[in-house]
Amino acid sequence: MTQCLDIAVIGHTNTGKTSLMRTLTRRRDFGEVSAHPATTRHVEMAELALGGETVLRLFDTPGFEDSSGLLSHIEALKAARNEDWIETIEAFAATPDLQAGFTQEAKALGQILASAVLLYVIDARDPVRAKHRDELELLGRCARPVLPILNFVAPEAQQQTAWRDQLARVNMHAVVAFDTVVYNQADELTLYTKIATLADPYEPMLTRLMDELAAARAAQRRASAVMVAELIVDIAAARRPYKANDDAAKTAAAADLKDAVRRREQQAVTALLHLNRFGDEDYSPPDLPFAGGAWQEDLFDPLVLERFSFDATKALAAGATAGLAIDLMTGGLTLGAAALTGAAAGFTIDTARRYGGRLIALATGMAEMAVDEPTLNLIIARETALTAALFRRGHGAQGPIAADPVDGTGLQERLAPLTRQARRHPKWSSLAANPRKTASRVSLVARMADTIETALS
Amino acid sequence: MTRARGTPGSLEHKIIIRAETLAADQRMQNELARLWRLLRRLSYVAMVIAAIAGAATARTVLAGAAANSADGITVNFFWALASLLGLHILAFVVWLLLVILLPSTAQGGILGALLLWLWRQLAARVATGRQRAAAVAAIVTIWGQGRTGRWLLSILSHGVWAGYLFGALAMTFALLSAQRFNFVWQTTILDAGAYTALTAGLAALPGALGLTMPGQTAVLAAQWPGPVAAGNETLWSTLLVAALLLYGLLPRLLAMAACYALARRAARTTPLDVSQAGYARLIPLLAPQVAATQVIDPDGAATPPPATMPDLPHQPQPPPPGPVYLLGWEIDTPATGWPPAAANHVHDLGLCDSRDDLARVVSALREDSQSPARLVVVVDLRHTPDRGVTAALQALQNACAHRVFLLFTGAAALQDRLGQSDAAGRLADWVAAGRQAGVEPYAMAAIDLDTPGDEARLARLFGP
Ligand SMILES: Nc1nc2c(ncn2[C@@H]2O[C@H](COP(=O)(O)OP(=O)(O)OP(=O)(O)O)[C@@H](O)[C@H]2O)c(=O)[nH]1
Ligand SMILES: [Mg+2]
Repeated sequence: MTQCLDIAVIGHTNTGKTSLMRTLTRRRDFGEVSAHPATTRHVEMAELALGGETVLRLFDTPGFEDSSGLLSHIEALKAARNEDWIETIEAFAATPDLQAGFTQEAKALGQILASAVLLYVIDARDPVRAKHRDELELLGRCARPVLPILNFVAPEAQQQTAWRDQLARVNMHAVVAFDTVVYNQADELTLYTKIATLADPYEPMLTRLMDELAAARAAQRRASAVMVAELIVDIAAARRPYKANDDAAKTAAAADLKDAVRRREQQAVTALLHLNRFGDEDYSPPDLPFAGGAWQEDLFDPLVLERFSFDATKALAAGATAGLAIDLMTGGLTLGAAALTGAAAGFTIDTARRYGGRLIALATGMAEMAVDEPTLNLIIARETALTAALFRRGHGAQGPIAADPVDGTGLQERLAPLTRQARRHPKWSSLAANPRKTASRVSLVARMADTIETALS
Repeated sequence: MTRARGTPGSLEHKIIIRAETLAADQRMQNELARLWRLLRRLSYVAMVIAAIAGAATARTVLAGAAANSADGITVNFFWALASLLGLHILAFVVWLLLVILLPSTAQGGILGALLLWLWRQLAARVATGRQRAAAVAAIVTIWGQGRTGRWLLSILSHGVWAGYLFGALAMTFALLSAQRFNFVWQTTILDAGAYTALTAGLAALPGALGLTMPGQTAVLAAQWPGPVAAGNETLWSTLLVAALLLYGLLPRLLAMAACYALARRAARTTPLDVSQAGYARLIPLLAPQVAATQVIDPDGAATPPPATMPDLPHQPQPPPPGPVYLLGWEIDTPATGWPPAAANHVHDLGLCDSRDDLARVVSALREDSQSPARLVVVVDLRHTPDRGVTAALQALQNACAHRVFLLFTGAAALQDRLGQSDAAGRLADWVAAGRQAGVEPYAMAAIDLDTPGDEARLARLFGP
């Protein structure tokens, strides 16, 4: 299939045609959108590519304005020229002299005749008026398959039934409800499925397109969850040392930490927005109410001790096993010395690596500042709410993103054991002086992302 | 990036192209090459150490504490063989079982992991800078994770073991060449049959390869203490060397080759996990669903300047004497009913929206003998004023000697729908549309017929 499917997006003015283009193409900068009439004044095309090959071309058109006048005009033309409908409309679209103030409509009609399928966008809050009936009559005369799109269906669409009745009367039974502002993946798939029934030679291509869209969406979901998880680890593990009993140093450390955390959050927000193809101006996180708190890991906290003994045993065992292997390989020549040395080395290196810095800090009277629990939870709530809002946002949406953190999702509780683990590894934070991305950090992030993804679906 | 975007194919493919383009960066190349060299050298050193260990073991086992007499060194053959091969076979079997039974968790053996760990410690010291960190991370990701990593680490492990066995074999060969050994066996609880069977088992493979192996007589002759018959040393030596080769070095080399093949296959077939956050950042950049956008027929006419909003008089002027008409254009029956209570006495033309309605109204107005004093046209602010409305208003203006008064209803509902600023814009659009049709601002008013409370203004509008 090398032929590509041309689809014209048509409808009365200000019904959201350009918004639909934006949402379907994920391009928030496509064309111009406003609440005024006659915003789009030319035909504008967007190509959709699959595997580097253009398979679909969507055409945005100027909206119909004086539909009844247009119908009368074309009827008069038809009578004067003594031609059939299609010929008259073709002549009208091609000849500026015949257009008599209907230039916008002529552009739309020209594109209609050049397309294989029409998406007729309807503001489902509007009642069916005579002008709409006239538009539908004209569309009928153009002899192209039409798929009516009921826009503005979320949350109020008082006139949906009236519209479906009217459309059925002009033989349009396949109708799609698709809100361009509140995005819904299932509705988008329905849209393409119905297009496929109207243009069946293109069905294999449209199936591939739907698969790719679904795959891209799944990848985006996962990636968004991983981004939030990374952010949580970075912030939970962040530390700023300061001299204990020095209030000025403590304030400075708190300010420094807050600044770093704020920048890290902003960075995550930007990344999330870009990943989901929105822009920085769509959302800015509100300020961080940051209390900060001296973070003194109690070395005798049972949890820490348990962890410590586990780490130590593991290091000891790893060292010893390696040493033992050497002992055995040398036929006992080293008489267990290697095993002992290995165990000792494993234990010392590992302990120094994990706890050395903190033990030294303790001995030299340093304390550590960390992000307090409420702030961390707020950031978790905020970023998951943002992610959820992005998943639901169509690219035609205009206003700023409303992402109010909702309580009671239980996500924080489910993440708590994981964040606690992150807290114990200051080096896992990218805000640390020399961060380390170990395999255990990778696995923690993956587990957190799983939890977040589940909560979001 | 541009090259990657233009490439046809899946996201994964594009990421790989991009990675290749980035990796073509010379500094990164150098860094990677350096770290590879380090890892390779480390592996060689480990193999050499293992070989020395193997040789030392062989020496201890064969020529260590054993009784040394004039007619040669007496060595317990089976004990020596077990010492040389036992640990290797144990480790090999464990590795094999893990790889077969626990393929998802099995690692490439402790020796490989140890080497990788050592390399990481060294790598941290040999170089610094951004490239170094990225290069170390790249190599650790390949070696330390996933299927490819498992086979690569296994190659390291087998390599070290092969070094060990090679050392042992070489030392054994050297000792056998330079010294005389009496190979014997002894037992407390077993009988000769067991050793005969064991020997036959060990000898099966070398025998099949055409080597002369100790048979039953040789085994019986080698029991110690006893009259050890001379002349069988060559047979036992052959068996010793053959066992080291066939049960030691060869399996390790074969396993190395197999792991190499498996690693290559895994590297080829392992899909990129494109859901990793690092890659995800590239999704919007590399996989544009939209290849291009293009304006087909640019609009020649300049966009009209935004409508400036004149002040609408709050109190409508009362109509001059004469008949007043009322018409609802493209509206639904207002919540307060139709016609409004204040307009009970005027001529009601009803609610209209079609060209037929319009023609009927126009002719009704024309045919009225008395020229209308005022025609109040009610329109709904929720609707977008389009050229169709302007045309209709124009026709009405012409039919009633430019006495149209525009009444905008539905302000509250509009506010709910669009919000403050867009609602103000909508009113301005309506005023502009009215002026386009020749209605002056003093002949316009916004009174919401859906909410009661503006009866006084309505009464002024419709007159007594
Ligand atoms: N709430 C909501 N607003 C929408 C929706 N679709 C479009 N809009 C808004 O409706 C207005 C018109 O949208 P456009 O996309 O410019 O409409 P259009 O059909 O292209 O208009 P013209 O180009 O002027 O014919 C804009 O203010 C959009 O933000 C929707 O589904 N829900
Ligand atoms: Mg538009």
